[in-house]
Amino acid sequence: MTGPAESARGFARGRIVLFQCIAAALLAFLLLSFWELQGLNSLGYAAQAEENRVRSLPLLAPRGDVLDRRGRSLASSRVASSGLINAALARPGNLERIAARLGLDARHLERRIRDAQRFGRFGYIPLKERLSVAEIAFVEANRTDFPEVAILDETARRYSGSGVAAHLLGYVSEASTAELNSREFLLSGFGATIGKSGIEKRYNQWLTGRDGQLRRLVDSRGRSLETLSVTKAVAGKRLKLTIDLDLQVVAELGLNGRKGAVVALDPRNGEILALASSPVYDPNMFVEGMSTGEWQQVHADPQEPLLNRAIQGTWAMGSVFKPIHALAGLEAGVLDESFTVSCAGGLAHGGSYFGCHNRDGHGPVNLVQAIALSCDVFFYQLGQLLGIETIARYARLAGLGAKTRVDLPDEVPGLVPSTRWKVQTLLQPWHSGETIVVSIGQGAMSVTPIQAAHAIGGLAVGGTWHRPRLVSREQMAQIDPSARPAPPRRWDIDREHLELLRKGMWTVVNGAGTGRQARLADIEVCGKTGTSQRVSNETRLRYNRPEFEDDAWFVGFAPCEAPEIVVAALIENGKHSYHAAALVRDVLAVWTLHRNRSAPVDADRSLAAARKPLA
Amino acid sequence: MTQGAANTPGLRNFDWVMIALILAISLQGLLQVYSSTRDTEFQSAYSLHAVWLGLGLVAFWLLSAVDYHSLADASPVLWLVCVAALAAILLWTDPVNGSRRWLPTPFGVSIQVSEVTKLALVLVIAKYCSRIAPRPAEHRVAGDSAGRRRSARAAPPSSLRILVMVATVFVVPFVLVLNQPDLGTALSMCPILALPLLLSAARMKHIAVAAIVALLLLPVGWSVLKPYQKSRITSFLEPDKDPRSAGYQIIQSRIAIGSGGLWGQGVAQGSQTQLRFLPTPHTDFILASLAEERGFIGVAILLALFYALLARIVQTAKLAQDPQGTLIAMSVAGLLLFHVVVNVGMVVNKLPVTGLPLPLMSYGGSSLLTVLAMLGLVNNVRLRRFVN
Repeated sequence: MTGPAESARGFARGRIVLFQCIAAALLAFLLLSFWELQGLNSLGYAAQAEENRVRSLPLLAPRGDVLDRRGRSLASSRVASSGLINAALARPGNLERIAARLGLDARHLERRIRDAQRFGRFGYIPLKERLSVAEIAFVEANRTDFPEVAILDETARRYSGSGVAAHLLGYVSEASTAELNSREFLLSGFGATIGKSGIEKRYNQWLTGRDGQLRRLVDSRGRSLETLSVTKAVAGKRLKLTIDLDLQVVAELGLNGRKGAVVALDPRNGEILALASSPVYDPNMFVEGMSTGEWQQVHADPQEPLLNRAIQGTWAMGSVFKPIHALAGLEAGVLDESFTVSCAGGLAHGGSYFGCHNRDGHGPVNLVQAIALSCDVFFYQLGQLLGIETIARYARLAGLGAKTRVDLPDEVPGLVPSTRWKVQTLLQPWHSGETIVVSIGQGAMSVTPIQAAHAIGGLAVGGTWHRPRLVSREQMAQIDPSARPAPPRRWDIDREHLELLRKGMWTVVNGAGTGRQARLADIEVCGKTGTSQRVSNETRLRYNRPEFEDDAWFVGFAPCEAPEIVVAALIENGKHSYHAAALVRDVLAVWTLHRNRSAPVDADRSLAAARKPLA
Repeated sequence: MTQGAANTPGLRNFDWVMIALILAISLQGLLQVYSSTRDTEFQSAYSLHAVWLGLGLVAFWLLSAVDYHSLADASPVLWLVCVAALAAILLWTDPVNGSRRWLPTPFGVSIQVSEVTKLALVLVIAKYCSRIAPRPAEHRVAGDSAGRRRSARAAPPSSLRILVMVATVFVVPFVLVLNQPDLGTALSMCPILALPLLLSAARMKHIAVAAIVALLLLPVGWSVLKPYQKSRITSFLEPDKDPRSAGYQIIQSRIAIGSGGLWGQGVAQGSQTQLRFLPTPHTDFILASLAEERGFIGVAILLALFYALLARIVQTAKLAQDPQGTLIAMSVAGLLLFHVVVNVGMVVNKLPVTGLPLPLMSYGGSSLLTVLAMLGLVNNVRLRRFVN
């Protein structure tokens, strides 16, 4: 080949070669891109592919039942159909329609899904609990349109009664994002149901089971192709409380919606038999999920139904403090049985006049009479002799001013005032007039009802304070075998001093005292009344407003000689302590009934025989 | 330039190396179409694809049979027919899926005219550009006089007219296709114009200027894009921003490719493909599906085959008996490279989603037919590389 042919083959040769080089470079670059995905990051993408094709459906474990000491159910689980939504599959367009049909807030739902993804949860999260038949039908009928929604038969918490023992049981609800970040719920995943308060919170781990998992192969439309594996759920364990449902119900009926609390416990071991707070709420509404409006309504209720007044409410202890004060005087050695004060109906001090509740005066009273009649002037005098520091020291020895460390969350410590406390918190000096006020349990001193029961109960059994507990030692040993039960706090008190107190408190109920309402025929009850002022008497009489009425206290124990139960009752604005005394009597009456019936016959007889000479 | 019947090359003169490469690629495509459509509503696609492959080979043979010079001479008429058909589609047919692309025929078969138009464009543009190509003597032969070289630099008076003509021939169908609207096909027409111009007319300096102007015009191009086209580009840049809609394909494609690893999940074993997480695994994203099931090795083999095919076409371009043949072959090479790069780039998330099929692989009759017809032209050029 010569001439033109040879020349034609040289046409644009350089640019053709350049083209070939560019082609090679581009293809090499693309191949490199494949290497980046397939060679370097293959494992990550394989995991993503797995996440695509395997849909894990949680099998929710039922929560353990909560029983009273006789095995009666306080909280149980029941089967309900729940809607779940897959956070990874959820399409924004669908959310609005799903929310509309299931009566949910679409914006809220969107936020939930974003939260779930922030917590690394791309599988199913709870959408709505307890679906109605119509809602289930809607989901089933629209499977292909809404592949992200699934229905799960699970168990939902059910609290028996309409709020019986609501405060001590607490309630369960879905964990908030803040709770998921806390150490306490480290093991809970997004969407987990956790105990929010009370027993449910304190023993959450024991009550919570282990969720199972159903892994299924699905296609891009969410259709299930085959089941890959099933891990069965492990149910939560049963929790038996020391609560006696009968006492609990009697206490709650006695409070009857008034603000107040009742605590009944066995001072020999700290077991709580009843712990009632009023007004009550229905914890079931938290389980079912409430609207923002309902939630705000409950939280803004001036009656504060969510407050567990037995451990979170504090009030002036009033005259219930007097036995503790008297013991302080005896132990400090400033008074004895013969110490007598003449009550003229009041005491003048530093330009002020401190009246006795009996304006006419009690006349000469000794210690036993002072407790029985609740003479204020006697204790004004005693307080002046002791001084605030001594009073505070003995009050603390009796268990006031500190948490009882009951096995419930969020207990408050109350307050025993002292010079130091006032200087440090109020930046003011202590006035001797304040000592007089504290002498009768008024002023800055405040206690919770459980502290009142705990303190008086400890004295009644001779100076041993067991930590109050809702779970017996035996049950606790199962929950945490490594936990050593805390030893009781002891205070070595002179037996004679205790006998004087007991005599005084016996007279309160059984003699010419202030607490005759608490008297029972079958059993001897000792106790102490208290009527604590919320405002000065003048203010109360001038305005005549219900919220200015005095708070009514009564703390009683039985049997007097060898106490097995102590009951504290507080009724806010209850006016007269005998209302509280009647409440304690009702609780003790039911307790006595049980005691006589359930105790083995022989033991019962021997107990009765043993007690007779003492009574 | 006519050829005697005695010199007509026979089947045994065909470029069997190229044909082997074509078959190697398209049979892998057929296998992947089968694997990615099993148990779906497209499960018979592979048999239809095989029929199209057969028809494509017939087109290959037909376009090899007649001397490309005769075809080029007839191409202006074909061009006119195509432009008329494109105009008719825009004027008289109803949109299908939002665009007008198909010309119904009385035989019940619809024709995607834009594909046939590409064929016409290859021939017409090669024909005109070959006229402004530097004369071989000026270009190559050493020992020429300086005077002749100078005259070569001064553009002949006719070349500007030819350039305008070439531009017109390109722009008219380009605008018509753009209005269907079919941005992907319109863009894929660009190499048919670009390569012949770059090879024959432009000087390197001009090419550089043109590239800069094109870059500067990018923002203007952005502003004329339709919203869905914009979202394709933004979701290409940030697929994770909107994982449920526009970014979905890209994310699923990446997962499919990545989970393939080195050796792949095995034919018909890829979960992304088989459970249909990967959208359009038998058409635009067929390479993602192949990457999942055959792994990096499979992809490397396939891309190597494509490169070998391109190299073979380039060799044909070098061997062509005249610039016209060279330009035809290079046009086809450019078109093929463009398609491969745009599709593969999209699949590995290096380029935005355009909806261009992977030549010889993706399911779809018109693409397969057009590519095989064009490769037939290349075979044609090679068959007639000897000047008689």
